[in-house]
Amino acid sequence: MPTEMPVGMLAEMPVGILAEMPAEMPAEMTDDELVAAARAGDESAFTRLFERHRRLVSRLGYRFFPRREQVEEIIQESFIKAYFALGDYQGGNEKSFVSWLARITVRTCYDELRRVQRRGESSLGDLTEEEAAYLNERLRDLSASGNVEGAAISRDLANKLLARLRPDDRLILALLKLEELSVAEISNLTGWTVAKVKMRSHRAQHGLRQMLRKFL
Amino acid sequence: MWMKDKRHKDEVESASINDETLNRFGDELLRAIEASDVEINTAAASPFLYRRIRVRIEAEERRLAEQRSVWLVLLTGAKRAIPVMAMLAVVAFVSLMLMPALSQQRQAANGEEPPTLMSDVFSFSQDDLIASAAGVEPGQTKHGGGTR
Repeated sequence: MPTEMPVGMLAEMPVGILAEMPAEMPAEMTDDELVAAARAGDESAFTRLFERHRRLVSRLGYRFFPRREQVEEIIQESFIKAYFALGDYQGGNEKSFVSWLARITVRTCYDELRRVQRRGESSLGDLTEEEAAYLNERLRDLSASGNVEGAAISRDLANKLLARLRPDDRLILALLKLEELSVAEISNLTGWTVAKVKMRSHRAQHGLRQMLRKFL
Repeated sequence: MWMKDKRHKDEVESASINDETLNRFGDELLRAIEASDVEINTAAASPFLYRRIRVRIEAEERRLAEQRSVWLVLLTGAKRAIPVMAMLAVVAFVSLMLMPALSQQRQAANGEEPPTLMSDVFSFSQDDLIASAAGVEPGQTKHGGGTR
């Protein structure tokens, strides 16, 4: 029984959390059935759920954390929380479990972002002088050409810059711009009201602009 | 003067990057952090990842079970203590109710007057009370009995 879809097949799937739902094999149990079995004490059912959805959790983790060990920690934490919350899970439709697990993962990532900021942990460190000069140059080029696509920002530099944002700003921006979720979907994932999501998204974009202006 | 001009020029330049451009640059920044499928799969398929999850789940279950057993011991103790405490309360209440009646019966059988509680306190005469209020020992007058 294959545990995961081939990487090539996954790469062709559209962006978005709900697109992570793997193709069901006819004879396979649905997520709801596996949850019911896991609740009844069937360990292999939870193993199957883990195998089926670990990639979704890993991808979400990489939206917020650059290092593999951090993402592995997010995967562990999310599945442990999911295991102990199985009793609260209310299925119903095909993608319920994916949404439910994504919600747990996003909240786990948010908690971890806040913890990292509270402790002042930044494994990446501050920008080096060269990086700051590079960024300044890039931003000045933008003012002249307006060609953003050629900005060629390294992942390391991007992570250092985004680590300067508040955790909730970072969360909103990642869900909005990378996951391409709607305000209502973000509201569902985070548990914040729609008005709060709108307000925070506005503030997050403003915060990002302010942060970039500092390098000009 | 030259520095001032340069600063002014910088300010004009930075203002010239409008919000729209900065937003697009911000989007590029966010896209730059995207991990590749290989990285995502490597983290997801990390060896012993599921084993580590199971170990932590088992440890948490053990901790919860221990917590539950402590509560169970306390509840069982409380459950056993409740009837004993209730019985003691009933015995104490009954003996409190019966004690004066029994003592009265005993005294009546001995032919004694039942004692009044704090009888010595309330057995002042009116003269004693007045003398006490005036600060004089009972049985004495204030100015040596009023004789010259």
